[in-house]
Amino acid sequence: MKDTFQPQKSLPEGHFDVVVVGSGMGGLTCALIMAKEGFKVCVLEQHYRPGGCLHRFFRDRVPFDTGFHYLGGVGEGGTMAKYLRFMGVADKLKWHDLDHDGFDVLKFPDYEFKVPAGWPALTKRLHDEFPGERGAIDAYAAACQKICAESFAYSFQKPPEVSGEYTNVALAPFLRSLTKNERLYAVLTGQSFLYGVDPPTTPLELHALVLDSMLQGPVGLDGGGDALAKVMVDAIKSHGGEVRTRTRVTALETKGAMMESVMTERAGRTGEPPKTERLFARCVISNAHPKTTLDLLPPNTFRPAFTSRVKESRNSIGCSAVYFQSTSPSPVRRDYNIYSFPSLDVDQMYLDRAPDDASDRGLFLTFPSDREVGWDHPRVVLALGLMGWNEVKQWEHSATGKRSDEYEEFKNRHTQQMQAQIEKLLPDHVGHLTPVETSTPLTNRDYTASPEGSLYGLRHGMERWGRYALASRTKIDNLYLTGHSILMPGIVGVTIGGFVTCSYLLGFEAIFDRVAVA
Amino acid sequence: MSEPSKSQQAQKIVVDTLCSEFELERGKIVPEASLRDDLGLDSLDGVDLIVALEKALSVQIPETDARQMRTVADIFTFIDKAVAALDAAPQTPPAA
Repeated sequence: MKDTFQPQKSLPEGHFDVVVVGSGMGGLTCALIMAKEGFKVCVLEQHYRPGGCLHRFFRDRVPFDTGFHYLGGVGEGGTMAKYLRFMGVADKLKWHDLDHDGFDVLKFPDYEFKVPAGWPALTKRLHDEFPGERGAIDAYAAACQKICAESFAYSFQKPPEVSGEYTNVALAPFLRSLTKNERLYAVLTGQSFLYGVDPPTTPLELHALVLDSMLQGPVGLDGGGDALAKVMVDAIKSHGGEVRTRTRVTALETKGAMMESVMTERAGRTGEPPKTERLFARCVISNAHPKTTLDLLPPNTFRPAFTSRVKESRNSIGCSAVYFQSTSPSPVRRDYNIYSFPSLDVDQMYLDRAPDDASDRGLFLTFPSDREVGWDHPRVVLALGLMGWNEVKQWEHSATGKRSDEYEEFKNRHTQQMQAQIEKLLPDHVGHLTPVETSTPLTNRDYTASPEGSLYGLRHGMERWGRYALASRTKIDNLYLTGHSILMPGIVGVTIGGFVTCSYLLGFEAIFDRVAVA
Repeated sequence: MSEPSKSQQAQKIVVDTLCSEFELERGKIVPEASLRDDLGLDSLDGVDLIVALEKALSVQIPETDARQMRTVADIFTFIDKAVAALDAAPQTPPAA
């Protein structure tokens, strides 16, 4: 085994033990772990706010979250709680519970299912709804729970043996082997938005881990994603780390077979040229999308086998988002999310749509103003619809703020379609909704440097699971990868992934044995 | 000269893949060459190798077989087995 990475004493200005490219939750997690362990750390973020997908933007001071809406496992004994405690930020975050009797409501054209928190409650409700399917339901729940128990970084249990029996099993064929009930299939695959892969190619293990993390106790965060980014950044700084925003990485530079430095460009004030600076790094952790990371490196840094493997990997699906303000006086407060499906065929939602297809699409709706404690702004409704890159590809050569009239027309049409679809779901908001902003995969691409505006980076389909997963380590000894594309997508996934990335530097036991008792 | 056998064709694809995808000298890729010690492929390369071979040969390499591949000859042995299994499989009737 290689020696673990040690901080270097008295590094000169502009030299760091660790430079982290990108300030998404994965990057912030790595930066905080390393800063806490005594390393001199610098995080670089192109945007004016840190957080990546945690970003919350404001219109007339009303906040709108882009990527962070809810998570689970922050309560006593929860997976996320341990990681947050280890990082020393757990007690700085104010969570609010979603409705544990139904935190996600799955709405199909003629059917509705409320997903309760906890496996016992979920299993019971499934039994009640599908009395003829008890065997299938129990086998499904047992498999999911076994997967979680066998994942040490998730459950911190040390099972006598790890069977790995589900590593090569995909969700849809697994469910089809248990049941022919289309409605049950739709219910069990309905939360697939949470990882953005169509059920036929979703690894059962991925599904189980993501779903379980929600079942552990779904919560929202007062202050949204920004609040999480802020406590992470504050903690990094309190350990002596730096977080530089508006600082774009223009090149990752190697010397011999090692990373040496990172070229940065900081936007100047209006009329002033950007300021470039080279930062020297003993180790670079890239939280950027792996394809973006490769583009920043000198050509031929890696062998063609690795380069083509990354470049040819498919991205996860993208989405549009329509951000509404609402003047609805309705007393209905929704402390739950809604997933809405045009049909029982969940698989269908992930297929590319014709750009002029005006039919309903798969939607996620969330209502932060109905549940955040201390919300003193107008009501808002956030609607995310699955949208493939093909729907906006024709404008791929344009940049935010400089798009064509045709694109604006497309966005307006899309906004109207989304509003019409949403009004069918929220009768109490009809006549009260004003769309404030609409984003598409193009927007996500430009703000998060995620190719094709992919929601969760590289797609975690069967083709990239288990032994096909992209490792945090690379052939360059001091270059590591982190973020949604690596271990698992989603906030819990990238947090665990950040710990896995750092474990290559610090030693697995040195990190995980301490998290286990945090 | 007779046509190269399916096995020989597949072996050529393996050698070509090692040359082009891993930038290895053709002369070094002999059956007895150890993937790790002679060709310098480590565990990270191992994943890339499986992905590259599966793509080039349009086969699935089960994990147990992948683990046993220590030399170039081990890859050839697997390929021969895969080719034989393909030949033994019933022919798909042509589409109507």
